[in-house]
Order: sequence, then structure tokens, then C-alpha cells
Amino acid sequence: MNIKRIVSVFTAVVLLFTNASTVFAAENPTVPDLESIYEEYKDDEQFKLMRSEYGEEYAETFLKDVLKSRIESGIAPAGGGGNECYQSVTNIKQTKNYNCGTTTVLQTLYGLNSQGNVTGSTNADKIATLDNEYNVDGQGHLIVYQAAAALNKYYHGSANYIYVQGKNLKESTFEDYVAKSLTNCKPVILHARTQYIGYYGGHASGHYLSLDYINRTTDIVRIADCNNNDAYYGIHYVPLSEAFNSINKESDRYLIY
Amino acid sequence: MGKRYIALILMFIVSIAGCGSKDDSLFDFREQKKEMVSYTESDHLKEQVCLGIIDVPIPEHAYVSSWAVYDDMVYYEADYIDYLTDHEGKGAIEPTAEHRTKVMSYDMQSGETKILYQAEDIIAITDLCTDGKILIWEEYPRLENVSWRIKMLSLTEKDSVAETIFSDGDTEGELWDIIPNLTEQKIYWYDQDDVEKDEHPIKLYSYDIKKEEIKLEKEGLDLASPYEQISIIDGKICTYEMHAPDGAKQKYFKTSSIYIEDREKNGKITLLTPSKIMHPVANEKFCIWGESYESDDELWLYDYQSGQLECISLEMMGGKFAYMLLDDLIIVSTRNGIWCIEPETQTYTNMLLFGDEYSYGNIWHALDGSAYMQIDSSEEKISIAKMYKDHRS
Repeated sequence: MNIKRIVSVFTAVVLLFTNASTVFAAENPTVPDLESIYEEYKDDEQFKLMRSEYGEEYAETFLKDVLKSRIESGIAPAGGGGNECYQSVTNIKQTKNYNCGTTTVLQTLYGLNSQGNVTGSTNADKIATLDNEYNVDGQGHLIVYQAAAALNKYYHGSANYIYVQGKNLKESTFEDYVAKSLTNCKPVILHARTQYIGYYGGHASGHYLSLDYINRTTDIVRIADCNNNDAYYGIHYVPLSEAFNSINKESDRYLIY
Repeated sequence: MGKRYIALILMFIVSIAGCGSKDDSLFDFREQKKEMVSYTESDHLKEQVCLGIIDVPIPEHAYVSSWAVYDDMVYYEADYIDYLTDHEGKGAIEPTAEHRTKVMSYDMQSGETKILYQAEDIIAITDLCTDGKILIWEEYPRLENVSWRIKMLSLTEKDSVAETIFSDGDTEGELWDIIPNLTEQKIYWYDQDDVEKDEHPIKLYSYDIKKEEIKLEKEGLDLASPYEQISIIDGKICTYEMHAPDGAKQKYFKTSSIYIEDREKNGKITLLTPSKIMHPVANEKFCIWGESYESDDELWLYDYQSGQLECISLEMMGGKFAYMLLDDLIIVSTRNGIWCIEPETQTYTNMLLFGDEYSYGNIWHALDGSAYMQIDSSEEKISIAKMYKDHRS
């Protein structure tokens, strides 16, 4: 069984929790993710000894056991409050080079258990529904107020999404907004400038990104990037300051929360 | 006697053949433990490296997402995409011909700005590169069958017109955008012709400007991010490949092979590293790299002369965002400033603290031998830090 299938199985288990109607705050929440478990253990002396003595395959099995135990202990990928806050989204690939906005909206709707409200039997179909509804082909992108409108239309929760210009925020306020939104089970969206995020290597583009986890002790956030490239799309942990700068350092960039 | 003569002639022939043969070396550091080396702060480095700030005026309402510098000239794109987008649904501004995306120049000596090119539409332009004689960039024309195209403009011919030299339709690659790098009349870029392929999917291509030919330079490579700049400095092209050890499929257990190829001397150095890597940069003296975009307090350094590999701790400088080689120095951009590191003396110094005025960015190596980084942007200007060695010291 290859690693992608293993991660998919665990993700499916995670989604079962995400789609539960009840969300609870956990004392020591963690985002179920093999990469984050490895980051936690990689400098641990016992883990290093085990890996050195028993080999890579054994160490890999150990990490999977840790991940499994955290999921089975009932820590849902949603909720938090306090130092760690999260509401996990499903990572989806964008289908055109300009529909990262609608794709990110759909990612967020998954995190809100509201993806079923969008017409379409596949994610590509759902993205196309949103593209058509908001004239993304004609405009060349989704506009910020449309992103908020789409979330409010398809999410039947009690709190509406709003947006704020990043330029008007201090980093502490940004952190508070993100933490509060996630604690209230609402993933946020960054209408970002990518050159402020490390893994973009200076490439400057406008891009929508999901942000679904924050650790206020380590100042790390989790980004779900819908970029279509396999080598690049996916989950990235970045410093809070990078996420903030991506909407603060330039005008006309927004936080949707 | 005759046999001795033949032996001598044969030895002479072999020695002549040996002079022209490739000089390939392999250095295996896979078992090397990561022990962080802490350098000491020293102001003597401030005498070796200069930092200047270039303020480039930009047109009203325009945004600059890409620029390139050569000697006293700055080339930059100016677009109005954000200005024309009705982000809050309050009513869009009607676009005019003036809002079509421009490529401009700024002369640092005279202060003069010029429009060198204006696109047919309001489009994104990125990745400007120049060698002082030509300027290239990447456009995203929003045409049905074209994701990206590369344009070239002569900077020396009078009344030069920008022309498309190749586009994604001319290549096997599938990436929706590429990161071109110009050097010695060739454009290099990474691409991937099967976006579903798991292992070593990256290929290195080149376009020969004189011959107008695309060539596959190397395949079986990896990238930690498809937006990584390819490192081509002092004639050395640096690429890499990551390997999963037997029995382990997780990407974070990987080791890597870094290939530093000297096209002029026809030699290659291969470094086998103890971990996965990101963005290796190599010149005549060193090769440096990071481990991942998520670990930012370390920088690996290989010194050709000593043959040693070490891991430099960047903890005292703040988390790294970008790094570049400047001859025998390393320039690092962290979230709080720009730093200069000298491996020979194991010292470092701060060149600029950002404070509230400036911010971190990516560092580019320019063909004029300097390093550049954007540190600020406002509605009136962008500010670019230029770093270069002070050869008087």
C-alpha cells in the first residue's frame, strides 16, 4: 500500500470527524497529519535512537501509530480554543490557473460540512458551478466580496463571513480574528500576495489560500493550498507572520473570516 | 628500446587525453550528523559588503510584482489588476488603454522612467530577467491554448519590439507557470511533463536564444517548490534529486543528491546529503541549501576548498526567509533583517534591520554580480536593496 493511499485512509477517518455535527474543544488538540507528527518527533533522542537502531521502516510505523492513537482518542480536527484553534478543510486542486478563489471556497465549505449544498457530483463539477455562478471565466478570477457571498450562501451556519483589508490590521488583531473564527468552526481565507510566503520562492502572484489551523504558542499556521501542481499543492505550515504579511504588506489584500 | 619508446608514446597519449576528460567528483555526506555551528557576530564584515537602497517610482494606481536590475537600470512590470478589481462590490473602475500592463525602465543615474512595452490586455507579467542587453519576461495572456509565454526585448537595438520567443505550447511541460532564468544567451527553466508522476518528475530545459532551440538539459530531478529559482552562478548549474531510503516511503526521510555542473570546465560535483533539501545555490566557492521551507534556523554549507560540510545555525539572526551567495559571502534575509555571513572566519553581521519601515523578501543573484531584494512597496514606489562586495577592502 503506497503512502498516498495510507494518508488518504487517515484523511477519510479525519473527515468522518469533520463532518460530525457536533464540534468540541479539546484540551490538547492536534491536527492529524503525519508531517506534523514527524516534526514533533524528529529531534527527540529516543526517536532518533529507535530510527538508528531499527531502521526507517520501523520509525515510519511508529509515527503512524502515534497518528492513529491521536485520532482514536477522540480529538476531532475541529475546535480548539486557547493556544491551538482549528477547523480542518479538505485540500482540493484547482482546475484552471485562475480559479483558485472558487476552489478555496469549496475547500472551506468542506470544512463547514456544507459542500453538499453546491451542485455537482465531483469536486471539479462543484468548482465549475461556482465558476459559472460568479463569472470567474469572464472576470479571470473570483472577487473577494463574491468569495464571502459564496460562503454565506452555501454555509447555513449562524455567523456570516465578512472580509477586512489586511492593510488595516495589526498582526495581533489578525491573529485574534483567525483564532476566533477557527474556534467558532469557520476556516478563514487569505486573499494573499504569495511573495511573502517562503515556499513561493519570491514568485509574486495573487492567490487565495485556506488557513485552517493556528498555534498561538509557536505562531505557526496551516495553509491548504489548492495549486494544481502535485509537487506543490497541499498542506504547508508557515509562520503566522508570513500569513499576515501576505495580506498586510500590499494594498487590496483581504482576510475573509 | 623500441618497446620503451612505444610505452612512452602511449603514456604521452593517455596524459593528453586525460587533460581533456571530465572531472567528476562525488562526496558522500549521508552519514554526517547534523551538529549546528554557531558563528560569531563581527562588524569587520561591514567593510566587505555594501548595501544600497534603490527607490523606483511607479505609475499612479499601478502594482509592481516583478523587476530586474542590471548596473544602473531597473526594469519592472506595472499592472492595474488590483486597481481595476472591485474587491468590495462598490462599483468597478472602467478600464482604459492606459491600464494595459506595462514593462518599464528606471535609470538610477538620470531618474528617467520609460515605457518599453505595453501588453494588449490587462494581464499578469512575472519573472523579468536581464543581462543588460536583452530583457525577458513571462506573460499569462488568458488565451485559450496558452498558459504562459516568454517575451524578449532587445535593450540595445533602437526601436526594438518585444516578441514571443516560446510558449507552453512549444514544450512538453504541463506546469501552468514556469520560473525562467537568463544566463549566457540561454533561458533555463524547470518543468514537469506529467503532473501525476510521483518520483523525480522535474526536468530542466533551456532555450538557446541564438539558435532558437529548446533543449532538454536534464531529467529525473526534484523540487521542494516548483517556484524555486534555478541556481546558475559562475557557470555552475545546480540541480538536485531526492531519494527515499529503502523501506521508507515518507518524504521527510529522504536524502538528496545535489549536482553542481560546470559547463565551461565540463565537470560535475555530486553531493550526497544526509537529509531532504530545498533551493540549493552554488558558485565557485560554496554550495548552500536549506532543509525544508518549514525549518528556518539552519543553513547547510559545502566548502569546495576544504571539502567540509557544516550546518550553520541562524538562530541569532531570526528565521531565514531567503539566502544567496555573493562571492565568498552568504546573504540571508530573515524576518527581521538582512545578514551577511563569512564562512571563512565563521562570522556574521547585520546589514539592515527592517523595523517598521522595511520587510523581508526573496534574494536574486543578478548578472552584474550583485544580489537584490525588494524591501518595501508603497503606492508611489518600490524599494530594492542592492548588495555587492566592496572590492576595495
